[in-house]
Amino acid sequence: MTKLLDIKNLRVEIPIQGGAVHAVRGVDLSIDRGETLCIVGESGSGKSMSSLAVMNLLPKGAHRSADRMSFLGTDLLRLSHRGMARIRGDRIGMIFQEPMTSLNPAYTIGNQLQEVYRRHRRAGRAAARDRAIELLELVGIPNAPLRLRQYPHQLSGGLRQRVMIAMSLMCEPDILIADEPTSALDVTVQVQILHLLKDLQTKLGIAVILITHDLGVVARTADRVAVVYAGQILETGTARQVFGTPRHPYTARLLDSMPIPGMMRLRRKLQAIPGTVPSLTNDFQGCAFAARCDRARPECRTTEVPLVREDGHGFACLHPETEARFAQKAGV
Amino acid sequence: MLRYTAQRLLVAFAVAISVSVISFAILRMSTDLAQALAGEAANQEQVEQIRIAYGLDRPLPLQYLDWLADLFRGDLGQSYYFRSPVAELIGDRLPLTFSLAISSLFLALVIAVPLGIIAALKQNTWIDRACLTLAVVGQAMPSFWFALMLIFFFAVQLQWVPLSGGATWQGLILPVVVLAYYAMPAIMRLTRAGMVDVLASDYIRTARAKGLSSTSILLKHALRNAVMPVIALAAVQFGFLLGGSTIVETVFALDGIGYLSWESIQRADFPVVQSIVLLFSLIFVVLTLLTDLLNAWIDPRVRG
Repeated sequence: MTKLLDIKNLRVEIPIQGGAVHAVRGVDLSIDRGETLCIVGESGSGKSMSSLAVMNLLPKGAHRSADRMSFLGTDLLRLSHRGMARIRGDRIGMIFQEPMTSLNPAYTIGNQLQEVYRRHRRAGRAAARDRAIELLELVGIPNAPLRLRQYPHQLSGGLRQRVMIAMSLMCEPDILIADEPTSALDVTVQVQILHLLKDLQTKLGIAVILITHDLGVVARTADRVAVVYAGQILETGTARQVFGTPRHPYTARLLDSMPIPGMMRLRRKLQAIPGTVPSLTNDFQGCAFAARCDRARPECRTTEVPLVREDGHGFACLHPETEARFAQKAGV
Repeated sequence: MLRYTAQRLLVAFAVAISVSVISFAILRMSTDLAQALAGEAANQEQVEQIRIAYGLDRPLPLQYLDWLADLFRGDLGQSYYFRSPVAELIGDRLPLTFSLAISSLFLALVIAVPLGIIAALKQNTWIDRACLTLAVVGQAMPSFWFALMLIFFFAVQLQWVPLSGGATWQGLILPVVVLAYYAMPAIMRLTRAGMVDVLASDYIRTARAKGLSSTSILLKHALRNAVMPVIALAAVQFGFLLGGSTIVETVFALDGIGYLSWESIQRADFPVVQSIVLLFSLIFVVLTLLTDLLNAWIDPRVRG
């Protein structure tokens, strides 16, 4: 069976004064129908850039390249602007981190919901309105007909994110890309939105690419996980593999830095990762994490580290963690 | 929207009243009206007679109310110089100034808004810079010089349009061009700045993620949000064009309000000056009100 989305060696460069920021450096991603793929990483790790590159929504000047980027057999790299616009919002939906500013303040919710349906489905006003009401109810917004007439500023952040989700699902896309959809929301609302996404996914059978820095979110939602760092994937596998037996030291350190409910009683200390993310302006040798890694040896800094796979669990490390070491440390 | 409109109307009314008080006060403070009416040769007794005859001896608030009542009846007083009603003088000249202002603002908008949009889309390219140059030249060039240049080329050399006077519509072409070029730079640059801002906003990214067409993104989603400050600016400029076309009216020998006010200031024809000040203040009040309402119609957040 062909993959829904299949990306090989994705690179994104953003030219700056006297050089370029290599925001994404050779990322492979793929997703099947109905699957949830979580891309985890710190700020500036290139996780958002990767998804924007798929949508061809990169900021002006940024340049993407890849060996392959196919969506249901269509080569996205060769697609015209028009062709891509036909896929966006129809086959691939996207929601963003900032629900407060992602809706146009000058138009009603109804207008903005209906417009996407009318554009892709050539539907009439009445059909689009019915569809909008249906979707608002699906994302758990009561009193939908009233909401259609309201403007974004009359809605709370959580409601606006629900509207964004409804909007991205108007045309029943195959993939929903959610770029940090809960980061800007209150904790209680975060949980609701995540539940909603999970719920919708099972109902509609859509694939979800969830981009987040929140490991708790990943643990709760992911089928598969890709851990990105400095524009590269350091570890990938099922949620069970990556969380249960992390092989890359970076993943292990990330998990150490995550509070686990109940663990505090056991006097487990939260561990910060020393050092900072390497500058992305120059090309570096060896492993991107070497400078901050306590397992690093001299060869880590000099040799290119390939992503090796064992049973679909991939990691780019010359001296991977052993299972026992982590299990003992994190108490999982 | 109804509440907002009522609110704005109330504010506009309050401003209009204050303007009338100030306008009334300016005239009373500028000179002794009785003396002015009686003329240089009159003796003290005659002046006092006139003062009583015209009610100028009564308390100022009462005089103000009288004046206000006259105003509502369309009586703006008599011009010292023309010896004819001020309302008539202004009424004769207003249409010319008004059509000048409207046509030039229209021309400025029609050119400046599209150029501003193009400059924003082609940000930091030669197209953007060409637009900027056009704007800087327009801002830097004195309008009287530009007017003279136009007269020299199009009226004297090519003889396409009459040399001066507003008797025919052809005579208005050059003044309209001069005024439009005066109003254009600010509108263009504000449109550009607004569009640059809006195009980088999250909701434009959303619109693109929805797969909307470029036209829809630009005209529906971007322009409507970028155009609000432009409307406010255009309203102010319309006010300036109405009152501030003095130089252009003078250069082209157009007998409009600007020319009249300039003459009247020179002749110390206070009733005329006062009425013109009052008229334009009120026009500004009305323009501001319209701008507020238009912006509220465009942006639901303003309605509150």
